[in-house]
Amino acid sequence: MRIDKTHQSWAVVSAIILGVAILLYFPYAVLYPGGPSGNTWPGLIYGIIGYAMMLFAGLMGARKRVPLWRVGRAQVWMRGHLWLGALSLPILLLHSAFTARGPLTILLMTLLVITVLSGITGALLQHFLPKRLTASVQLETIYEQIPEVREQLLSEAGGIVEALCAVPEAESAVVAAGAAFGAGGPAADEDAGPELTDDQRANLQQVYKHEIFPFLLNPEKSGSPLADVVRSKAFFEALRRQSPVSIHEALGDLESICEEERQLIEQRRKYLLLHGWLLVHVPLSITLLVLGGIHALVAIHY
Amino acid sequence: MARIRNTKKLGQRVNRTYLKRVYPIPQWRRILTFVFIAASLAWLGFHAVAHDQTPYTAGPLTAQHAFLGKKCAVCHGENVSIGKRVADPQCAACHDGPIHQASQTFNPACISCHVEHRGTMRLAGTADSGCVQCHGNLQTQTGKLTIAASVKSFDSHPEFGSVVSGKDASGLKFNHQKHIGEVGQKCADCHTPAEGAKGAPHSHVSPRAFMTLPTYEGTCMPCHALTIDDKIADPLPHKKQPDELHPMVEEQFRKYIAAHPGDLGKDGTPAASGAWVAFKVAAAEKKLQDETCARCHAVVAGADFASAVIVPPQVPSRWYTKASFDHSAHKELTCISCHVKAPKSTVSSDILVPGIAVCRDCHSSGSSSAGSNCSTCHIYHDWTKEKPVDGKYMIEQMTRSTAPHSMTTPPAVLTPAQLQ
Repeated sequence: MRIDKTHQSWAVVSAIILGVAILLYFPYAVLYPGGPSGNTWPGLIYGIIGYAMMLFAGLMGARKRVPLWRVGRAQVWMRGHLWLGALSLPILLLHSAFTARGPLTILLMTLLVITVLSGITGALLQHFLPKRLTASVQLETIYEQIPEVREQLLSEAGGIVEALCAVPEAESAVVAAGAAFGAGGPAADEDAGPELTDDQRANLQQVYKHEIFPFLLNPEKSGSPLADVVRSKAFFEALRRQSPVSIHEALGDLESICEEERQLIEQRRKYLLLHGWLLVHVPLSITLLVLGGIHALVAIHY
Repeated sequence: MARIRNTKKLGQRVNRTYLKRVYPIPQWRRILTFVFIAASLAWLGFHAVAHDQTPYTAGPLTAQHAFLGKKCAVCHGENVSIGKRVADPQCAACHDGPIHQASQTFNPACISCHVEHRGTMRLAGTADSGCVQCHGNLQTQTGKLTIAASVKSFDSHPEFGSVVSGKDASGLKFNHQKHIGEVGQKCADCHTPAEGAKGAPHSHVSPRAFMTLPTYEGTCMPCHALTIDDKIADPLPHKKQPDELHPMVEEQFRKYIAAHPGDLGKDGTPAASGAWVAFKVAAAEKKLQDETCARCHAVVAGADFASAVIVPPQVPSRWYTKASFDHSAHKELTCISCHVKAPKSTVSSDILVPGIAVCRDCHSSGSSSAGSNCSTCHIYHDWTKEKPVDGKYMIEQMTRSTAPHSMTTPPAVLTPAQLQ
């Protein structure tokens, strides 16, 4: 979610709440006998408000799980999650008088700080990354479909090379392979069938076997020159110079497949950044809510 | 022919069942959530099984209470209620905190001043807010005030009462300048710390906190012996009134002339023994009244020496009667750094204890200064009124890792079965 002008009212309300909470804290901290702490009435009120904010932020997860619930718009929930979740940190710092001395309270404060910081990190990533993703990955696909798309790209490249390297008597097979993706393949044009010598055919097979196939099979680990735009371009230029003009279009298709693969790599990298922080944020925030509830119950008991 | 990537072709690539699958990031999110919660609950459960409530403590207890840390209910009690605090009877079960002032209108709860769960700190070192809740706008049951009506910090503390009086009314005559400047004595020649700290209001004050009152025998007599004549070595005793001294003076001269009859008639003295004694006694008693005794004491003249009265001095043993100044805590300082006026003082009516300004040189509200809390100098409880506390608990009740036991309703004696 982009943090834009639509967040203005939330930002203003949050700033007012924080300002009032801080203003009230000063006389409380100075005048309250024994000093401020979580077990005084003012401290307890700060704690209740802070925990309520955390609960609201946490309920967004429940709201997502049941999208049919008509309890406010999803955008309102998200804005509330962002602003009230962030606000819970200073409010709970006021609750604890900026200290945490007991084992559980130290754990809670650590969880709270990490949760809020990871949330802020996530909000910044969600603000900046999608635009950059759109700009750098034009061939974006559904993230969860990337493995399947990769398989299809590998199959498509294999078909092209197989068609190119087929012996002339087997031109019908070339046509079939070329039709694997698109309305027609490089060998579909019957007037411009591959005219490769045995050496060129062997060379193309070697190039495919040792460079293109490993890259497409395992794109993020191959260390292939095809993973880099410049080196890939140079690679295919060299390949074209070694090949007859009649197969340049097919080589262009192979290059296009490699380009799409590189974009999938980029998409996956950015996706991990966009969503990887949730591996910290979500488990810790749920743990925080559970332990916070226990802390509240025990604190009320004693 | 180049590859075609139209919507239809791209759409055909998508496996429409992908939403039903669980993918790595959401899966790991669930796994990690489960692991974190399980680990946290296991940690709390482990302590719960051991009946150890340490994880829930608001902070480490003071060293004196640390042994109670596993059992919240020992101090907090068992009854559940929001905002419930440790009640005074829980504290009074072990500590008798004597009343502060009989005329106070408000008796604060123990925990409003003695804040626990702050780690290794002096529990008696209470925050100023505890004192200021009354002394900020002091009210008494009688409506009369004998101290300042509003003190909110050391910065607003009035000048010390001893200094405000402006005069030492002890009645003793003493010239500090002469003894320090001319004779070359040092402060410690006369003023020494009191071993045993008589008058110390509470045991936490150092036994060497207070200075002893200099005594005649201990400090003055070596130079100022109460002799009545150059020929009689034995001095008169101190702390005697003239009517007690007169027969002693007569006796000393009578004994002397009996032993030295050759002195009769010498230096213009009478030749008869009785008249010689009367002559010498009159001269000696005049000297005693006008010089020897009067050097340090006020003497009220009478018809004769025997009817005169030596006014006993009333030197205070403690000048700061409402505070507990500790000399041993200031031993790194020279005496005159605080008692500035002492080397120049020629009369004993000068107030030589330092005023509040001297204290504020070091004790102020700044962060780089020595402490200036009320409790630095003052003690709330009047420990002279401390009553003995009857112990009510077995060690096991306070420390054993069993179900918490409320100290509000302790059994008189635990049976062996209960101890098991």
